[in-house]
Amino acid sequence: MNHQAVTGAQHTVDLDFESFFREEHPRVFRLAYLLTGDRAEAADIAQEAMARVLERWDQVRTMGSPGGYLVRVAVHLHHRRLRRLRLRPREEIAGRAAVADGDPAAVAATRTDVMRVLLSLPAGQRQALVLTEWLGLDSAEAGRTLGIRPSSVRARVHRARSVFRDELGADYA
Amino acid sequence: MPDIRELLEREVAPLAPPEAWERVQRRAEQRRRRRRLGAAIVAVVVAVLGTAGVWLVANGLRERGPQPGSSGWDDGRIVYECPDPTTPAGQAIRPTLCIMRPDGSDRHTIVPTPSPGEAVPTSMSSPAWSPDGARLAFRASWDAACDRCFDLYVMDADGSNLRRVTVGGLNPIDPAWSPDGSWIAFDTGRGGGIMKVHPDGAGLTRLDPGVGANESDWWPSWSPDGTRIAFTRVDTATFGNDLLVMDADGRGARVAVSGSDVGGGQVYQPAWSPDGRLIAFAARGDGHHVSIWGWDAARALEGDPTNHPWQITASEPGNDMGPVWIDGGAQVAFIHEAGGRIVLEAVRVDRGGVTGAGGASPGPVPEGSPYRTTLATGFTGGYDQIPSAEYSFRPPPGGAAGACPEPGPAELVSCSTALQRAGIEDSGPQGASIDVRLVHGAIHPDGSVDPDDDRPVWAVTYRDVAASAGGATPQPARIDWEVDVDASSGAFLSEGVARTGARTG
Repeated sequence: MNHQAVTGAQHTVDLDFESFFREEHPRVFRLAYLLTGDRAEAADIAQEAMARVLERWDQVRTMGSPGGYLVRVAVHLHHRRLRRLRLRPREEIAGRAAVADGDPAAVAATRTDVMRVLLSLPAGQRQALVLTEWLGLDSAEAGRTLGIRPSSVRARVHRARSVFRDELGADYA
Repeated sequence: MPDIRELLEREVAPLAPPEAWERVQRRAEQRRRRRRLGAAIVAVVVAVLGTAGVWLVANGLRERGPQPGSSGWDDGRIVYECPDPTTPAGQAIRPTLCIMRPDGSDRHTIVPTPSPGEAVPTSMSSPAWSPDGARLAFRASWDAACDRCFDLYVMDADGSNLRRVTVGGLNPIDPAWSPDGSWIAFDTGRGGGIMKVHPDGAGLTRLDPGVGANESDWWPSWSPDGTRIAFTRVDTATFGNDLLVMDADGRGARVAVSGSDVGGGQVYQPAWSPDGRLIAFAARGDGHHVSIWGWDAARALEGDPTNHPWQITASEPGNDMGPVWIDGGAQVAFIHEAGGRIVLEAVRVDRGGVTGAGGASPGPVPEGSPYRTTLATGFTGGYDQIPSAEYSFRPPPGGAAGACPEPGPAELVSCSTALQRAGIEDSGPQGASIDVRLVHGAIHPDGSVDPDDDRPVWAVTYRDVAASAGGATPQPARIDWEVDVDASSGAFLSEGVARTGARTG
């Protein structure tokens, strides 16, 4: 590992980060997958988020919840990705989607109903739903992560759950 | 059946990320190098521009003369949630309150000044202007380290005279001032109901004790006569939403608009028009997008059985939410959210539907429609810059005549400038009447507008100001000023020209 070559003080920091990395990297990757529905994008977001945490590890490691900071960075990166996609020409987006996902019909056939419904949600609702339902944040925590207030989180989750109920049946959501 | 958490967990449990340790190390090192390089470049640029900046301040600003809004005219303000720059490093950015002009200029953060012995509140959000435009009600935490220590506060718009109105962590959200400013209604995260309290903290009253175990009441909105409150009741068991109206003392709650009235969806955020006739609200119809709807409260109160809500905007592919009546009730402003971009827009609304320069819209107005006016952009908030949809318009100052049209959309700065160009430097005495509006079409001498000439112009009608200022009996004098403007930027393309009459005094 790279950390074996550095000095003693940094060595300690790197060891801490390595533990953090091993525990949190799979989780942030899965979080990014739920937000994007794309493994390549999820891997990229997870790596970039981890790199940003490592860059500021001296400060992050003293936080009450370094994992919470990592989640905020990942959500921020997801949001930036959405903005970049919106600014690109439609042809480029379509081409990228084709490369990343393959034939749309095949994708539709292979994606589960759950992911299909999840990805049909507006990004804000999807983020709120994943943060609260999968990650287990309460509306205040999710609101701080998303930069919106708790009632807005509740409203978004409410709408998202309604969509799940409508699409998958009344026993869901 | 599994719940959503289990469904999502099943999707991701088998997934393992690709090996990334080496890549993460390289990316982090690249970012460190870029940051060091960027800091060096900034230092050089600052050193070079330091001298030039002095020249710009000394010469550039002086040549530009008076800035919009500096003439004494209050052209409206928007208060909204924004990132708190004092958030300690490494912590999630907390919200605070900012103010800007309706065109997005002159943004600044409000710094509260608490009374002696009182802690500075943090995480300020959910702001609402008082009816006189002097004070703000908002939610804030008295303990930065506590997630559940939110109470209701009021302060002057400059941050002075801060007062904590409720005590005990009621978690108040969505404060709404009564029209006379004597009460503030809000919904509470503790118990899920609507309460009201005097701005001095007295008279705290629960208004909806009859709310069911699975119900929660949100988003109170006072009728302009102060006798009723509209709100949304959420059934947390069935996820149904209804818009209800109750008397201001909490009695007589009845459903005004149900979810089935909007295509089976939910209703949110009612807003009563200034004349009391209409209620605008946000609703998710049978699609998955939130739009703005209207409901004729007056017809309903008259018992008209044919009264149904009607859709004002078609929001897809985004969402329209947070309706607020502006411009004296002539327009509804709302947040349009699409792909994470937040824009404050407005449409002209009357009982017959959406109106515009080309007449009434045949149906709900979609994104990009000419019936929709962009008021402000660049709402930001939170760590990841996801904009906040929280905002509140300041009412006209004193409700006196002589104000620019309220709120004066993106055009408002131009409104102020129009008045300066017309030689009108202050609001004039009471009794003066000034009407400033953006119209499309040349103005005829009789005041009518030629629709065949669709140039955007400011029409300034100015009555009796000089005569009143001189103590004389107001005379029916009138001036219309026509100024060519760029409708998108509000920039003036020509000097104002008097079209009719002559300015008195």
